[in-house]
Amino acid sequence: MNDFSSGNGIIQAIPKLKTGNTNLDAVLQGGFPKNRLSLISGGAGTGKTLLTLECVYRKALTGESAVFVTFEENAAVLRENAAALGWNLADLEASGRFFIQAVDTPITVIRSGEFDVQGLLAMLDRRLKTVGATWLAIDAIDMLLRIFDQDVLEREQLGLLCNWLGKREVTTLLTVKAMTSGEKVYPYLDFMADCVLHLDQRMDGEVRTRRLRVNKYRGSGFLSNEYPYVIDSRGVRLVPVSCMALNHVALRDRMSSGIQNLDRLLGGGFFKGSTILFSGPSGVGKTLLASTYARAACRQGERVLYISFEESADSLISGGRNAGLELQSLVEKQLLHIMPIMPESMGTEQHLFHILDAIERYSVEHVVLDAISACRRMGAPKAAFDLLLRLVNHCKTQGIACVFTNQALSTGGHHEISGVGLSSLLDTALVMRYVKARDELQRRLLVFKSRGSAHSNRYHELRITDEGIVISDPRPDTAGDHGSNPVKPTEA
Amino acid sequence: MTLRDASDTTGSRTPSPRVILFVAGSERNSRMARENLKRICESDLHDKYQVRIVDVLVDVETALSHNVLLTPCLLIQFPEPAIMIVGNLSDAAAVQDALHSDPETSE
Repeated sequence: MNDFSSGNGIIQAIPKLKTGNTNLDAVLQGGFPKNRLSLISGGAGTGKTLLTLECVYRKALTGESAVFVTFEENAAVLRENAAALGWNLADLEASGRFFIQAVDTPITVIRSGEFDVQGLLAMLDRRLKTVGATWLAIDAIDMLLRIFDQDVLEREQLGLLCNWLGKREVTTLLTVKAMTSGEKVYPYLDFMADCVLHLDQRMDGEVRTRRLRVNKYRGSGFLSNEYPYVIDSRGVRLVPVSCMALNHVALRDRMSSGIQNLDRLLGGGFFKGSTILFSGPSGVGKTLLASTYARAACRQGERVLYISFEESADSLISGGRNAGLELQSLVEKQLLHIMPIMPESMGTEQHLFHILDAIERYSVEHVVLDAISACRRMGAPKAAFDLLLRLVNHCKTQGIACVFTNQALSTGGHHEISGVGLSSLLDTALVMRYVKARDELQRRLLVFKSRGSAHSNRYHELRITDEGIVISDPRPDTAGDHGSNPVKPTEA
Repeated sequence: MTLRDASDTTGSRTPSPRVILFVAGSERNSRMARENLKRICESDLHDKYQVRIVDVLVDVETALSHNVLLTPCLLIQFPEPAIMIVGNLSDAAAVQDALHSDPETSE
């Protein structure tokens, strides 16, 4: 379908208007086609109305004028639903820039001979002129179409509507109920519209996932994947489109890890705004290392969002206190925001928005995710990777540092240190493990990877003391540690 | 087909049917609907119809107040319950049926 999506000269030819939804604009590579017809299809409850309403609402907010025609809801219900999302339609209506035309389609109609949509066109003409609208939304046109009761007639009448719209300087969004399988679909509508979006929802395990895709965009390129979205208190929200390494801020400045010797191993500390992983078996000190990092950042006056999938805020704070790490005062100063989340409580997309909202709300410079291994409990295996990829991508473009901990299942090979295929996104990876040395179990830390800097490539002893994590002085003779046998930790 | 009894007990004649025909100017189907309705009215010897014609191209608001977007469209306001007939009324029998349908007796 996307004959035009390859890079030829036509791509620039179509004037587009922003949708009011940044992530949707990215998918549509600019927005809806100006003065053309866009079709939004999808099953019941996929958010067609909301997506469409938000677009025209935002247009009206920014000074344009819009008419919203609905065949499914009455105006009061629409206003109420919008108000729940913080959109004040009544004010816009009062300003004259927004008009809601609700039409009740009769349940029983008798047919006697031919008829057509002239009345609809007359109504549209009147409303568009009165409001001076540049945007038109027609919601649930299928409710009107079903009165024709014959595919060929519906098609003919839609053609009439499309032609009529084509002669007007108005950008139209048309929604239509379409099932993914079976029942009624309007295949010909795809041919009449210039831009076709499809919304879809399905169950993925026990989690509902929603996807948006562009089926067609006449005369334009578009991103052709399926994009996850959620419907929450802020409307229809598409997850940010991943465009790795395009707008990422270059790493330059360093920050302390909070542990003097670790800074030396890293060649001067972590890079600011980098993506960091602490990986290792249970109990080796990952959470403490992450807490130490958070404290170091807060001490610089920076804000940290600490997402804990494993323990409560209290337990994190008391765990720190036991190792001489005082976190409570940082929480009180609102530098450290601890957010405990149950991984199973929602799907990955909701988690992502939950985290992105918190990042925005607290305007943090650092995000700690403890532990990413828990993300696998959110749903499909690939979902965990998608979540982290999108989070890292968002943070990198904003210059926000991401610190992940990961509970490694074994102390064995390093080929997959993150457990979710994340290795290539990481700037720095620290691997921790247990070794049997003399008569005791000791902890070792290795700077496995540190992009763009000279770093130690040896295992160093790590001790958890009453005054926090201590890493033994880097000495040339610690090479002997390589001979130590790694042992598996005893899992609880 | 019998005439309906008056709903009240006075024994007076049933009020005559009251209809609105919505047309879109003089477009073909609308023209046909006017002619067909005229014929239907004239053929009914018992009743004198109260007919109002609304041109949606001129009076959009009246059409909208009755949720009429498809034309031509005949809205039978009386006898009740109100019923909507879309089309050029070429099927006169369907219109007659609707005009004289009696919810009390028809199953």
